[in-house]
Amino acid sequence: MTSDKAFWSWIEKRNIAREQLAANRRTLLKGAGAAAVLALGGGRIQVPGVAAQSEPTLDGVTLRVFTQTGPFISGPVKFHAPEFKEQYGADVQAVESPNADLFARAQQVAQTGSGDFDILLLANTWMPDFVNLGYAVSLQGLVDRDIEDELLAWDDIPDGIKRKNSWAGETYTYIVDNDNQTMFYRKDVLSDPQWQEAYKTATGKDLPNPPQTLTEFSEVAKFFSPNGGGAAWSTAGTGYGFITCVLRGQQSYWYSYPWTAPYSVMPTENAPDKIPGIYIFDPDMNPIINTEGYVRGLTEFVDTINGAMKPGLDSDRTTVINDIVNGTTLMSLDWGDTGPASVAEGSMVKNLLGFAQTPGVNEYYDWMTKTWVTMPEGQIHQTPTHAYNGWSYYITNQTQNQDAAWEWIKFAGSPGISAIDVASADSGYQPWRKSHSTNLEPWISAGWDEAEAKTYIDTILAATDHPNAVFDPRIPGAARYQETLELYTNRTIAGELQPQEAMDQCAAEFNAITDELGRDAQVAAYRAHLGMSS
Amino acid sequence: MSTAGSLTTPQIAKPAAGGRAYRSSAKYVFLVPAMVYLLVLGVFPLLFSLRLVFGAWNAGQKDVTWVGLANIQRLMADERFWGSLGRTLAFVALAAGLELLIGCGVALALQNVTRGKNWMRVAFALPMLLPPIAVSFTWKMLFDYNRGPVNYFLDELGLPRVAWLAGQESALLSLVIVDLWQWTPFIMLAALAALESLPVELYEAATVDGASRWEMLKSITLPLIKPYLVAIVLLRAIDAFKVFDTIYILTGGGPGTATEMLTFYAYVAGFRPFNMGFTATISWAIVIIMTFVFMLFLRAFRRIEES
Repeated sequence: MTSDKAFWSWIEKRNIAREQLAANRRTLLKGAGAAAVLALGGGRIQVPGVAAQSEPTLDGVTLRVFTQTGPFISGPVKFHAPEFKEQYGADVQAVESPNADLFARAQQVAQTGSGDFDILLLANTWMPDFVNLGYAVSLQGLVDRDIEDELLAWDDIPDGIKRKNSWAGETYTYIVDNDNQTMFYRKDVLSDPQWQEAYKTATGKDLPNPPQTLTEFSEVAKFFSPNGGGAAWSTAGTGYGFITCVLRGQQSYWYSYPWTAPYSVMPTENAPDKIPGIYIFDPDMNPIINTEGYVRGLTEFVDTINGAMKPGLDSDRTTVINDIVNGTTLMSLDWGDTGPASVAEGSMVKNLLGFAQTPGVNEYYDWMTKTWVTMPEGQIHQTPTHAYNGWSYYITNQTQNQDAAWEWIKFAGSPGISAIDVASADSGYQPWRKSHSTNLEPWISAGWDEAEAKTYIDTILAATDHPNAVFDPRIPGAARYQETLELYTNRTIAGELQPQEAMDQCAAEFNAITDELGRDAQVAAYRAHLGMSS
Repeated sequence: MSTAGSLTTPQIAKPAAGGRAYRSSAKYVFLVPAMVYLLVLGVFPLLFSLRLVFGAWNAGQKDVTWVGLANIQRLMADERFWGSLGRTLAFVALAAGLELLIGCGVALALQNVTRGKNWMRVAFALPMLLPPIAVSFTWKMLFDYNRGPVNYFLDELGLPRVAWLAGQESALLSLVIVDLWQWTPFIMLAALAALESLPVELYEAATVDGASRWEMLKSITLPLIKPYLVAIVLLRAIDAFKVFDTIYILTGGGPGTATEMLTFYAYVAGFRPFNMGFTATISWAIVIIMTFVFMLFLRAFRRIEES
């Protein structure tokens, strides 16, 4: 019921946005984004007199896109399909499956070829499992062919997104989302002199605005909770300092990434071969989740849950967004969806939220030398985490209409169309093109303050190309490793196991999975994910 | 007369023989759809799943590879399997046992009601008629720690709040409560039907002999309805053994592994990450365990009948 209402409200809002931008359809596709790229000096892209340009004719073609049940993620597919039909002549159908069963369904389809899908819109992290089967075809040739195409707007795509789109040097996916994690905080509370004074009195420290390190984050979160004495900050009810997802099977391990990565991922300049984002496994696929760094991050995560979160331990992802938006929780480390939700109808925190990189640390664990390394005075080690890596388009080897599928992907990901999608609270997509930061009209239409929107987008884009950016490992059997990490993270949160004990058991299971799948092949795949030569 | 020759019997007998052959083969032809249905949807999946028990079929792997007993060895060594088995048995015993007690109690209370009994039957049966998914979502809201009505009433009564879905023990108890709410009416209705089928003469004779209500219950009612109750509990136990949707919606198997039962374990350990060989192994283990439990029940049932 709620979903339907949200979907139709979203359709209505987007119809208005489309009308505003649809003076010329081709211009809509390229959007102000293409012009922005020019302004940024992208050079290659031009905004020609496109009205005269002929469109490909795809009459009679039907494209089937397999993706998650809507309204999120599949919503934009269904929304733009009529427009694509009108302009290109091809029908686009979304075939949906619930999120929890998406991987199993997709694998079943990939292995048996029974689904007859032309396009997948699925997790970027599952790429090797589709590539190994030959089910996902390389997009490299199509990218090379159309590199000058304004709809592809290749120079408008950040390098971080291009890295996530490629595996072993080939482009296999086309990301239309940007699943990195951001810190959301109540900037009105943290900048309030009364609360700054109260914090100083209680802790003897200045109130950081926003917290720069995980230690600061945890201290602030605990203070603004009932046990810390600062719960009265919320005008909407009892205030809590922190909210995260703790319910089993609801992605709690992804929510632990911003806590475990800073302590366990080495700065790129000190990492082996200067490879960025070596996380969870070392380059030889030995788990590093049971090393001191990862365990410390997990311990602080659980400690902050116990000290700063509302009781009950029954929050899921929706709760995380809702508790920020309804004004009862001060901070979260989450995917970007909280941003658009904060300006949507019913939000109590419009223009009150701050957006920043997830906190860093003053010292990190060097798993090669097994020592702690303290950062130089005034420097903080940050490792922005990408969880799930973004919803990505794949073209399957089952399609008889590869060119049509590619046209759809370019259309859906074009600067103009994607600018509307990422500004919508109900699409589930976060900004991923450089031009999203300059084409702010859809954001203003969606109710954003221009400066707030720019801060939000720039924060997300900065994480995308951050030198220490950590990508979710893309290895064969990724879902099995994720399921195992989810189990042991959740057992730690529930108090069944201590962090070190849990991660030791998890590491042992990781090794068993790696051995079962073939260690050499897994090492090669993991190195391909990292972008290492061999 | 030449006309006699034209009425030769072979001309009549020939189609008759053909008809017999046709009728004989026709029955096989009519059986074909059922056979195909059985083979495709019954026999083939059964054999294929058995093949998977000795194979590996993982994500990204096109063919099933032979791994011998590896899946079985892994299952036997997996403490999660034994933990989930223990929790499943505890859940079945608690849910089916309490449902039997409460269901029989309500049935005995309703037995002598003369007015409005049919309405009561319908009212009691309502939870059973609801889809388990809807029931689970409703209970999820009721059990919500911070906003749920159950904790609200505990607050009003001055009692401490309970982390219904997040406590190591309370989460399993919450699942039992949901099962009790939905399926006690089944036991109650079945027990009531059994009670109403008992011969009145026995009670009349007992009353004449001066037997108390307790003596009648102990010596007449319970012995007579015992076979029915065993059958009813058997059905409920099998159903409770397969509980899945309530766990999926309410707890996701957590907190930790506190509510991870066998069917859910098969789902999260095997199906969701697409480890189909291991999923098949767990599924066959569940079949074997259920068959064993079923045979124990049947044995008890036979003993009761003999006594």
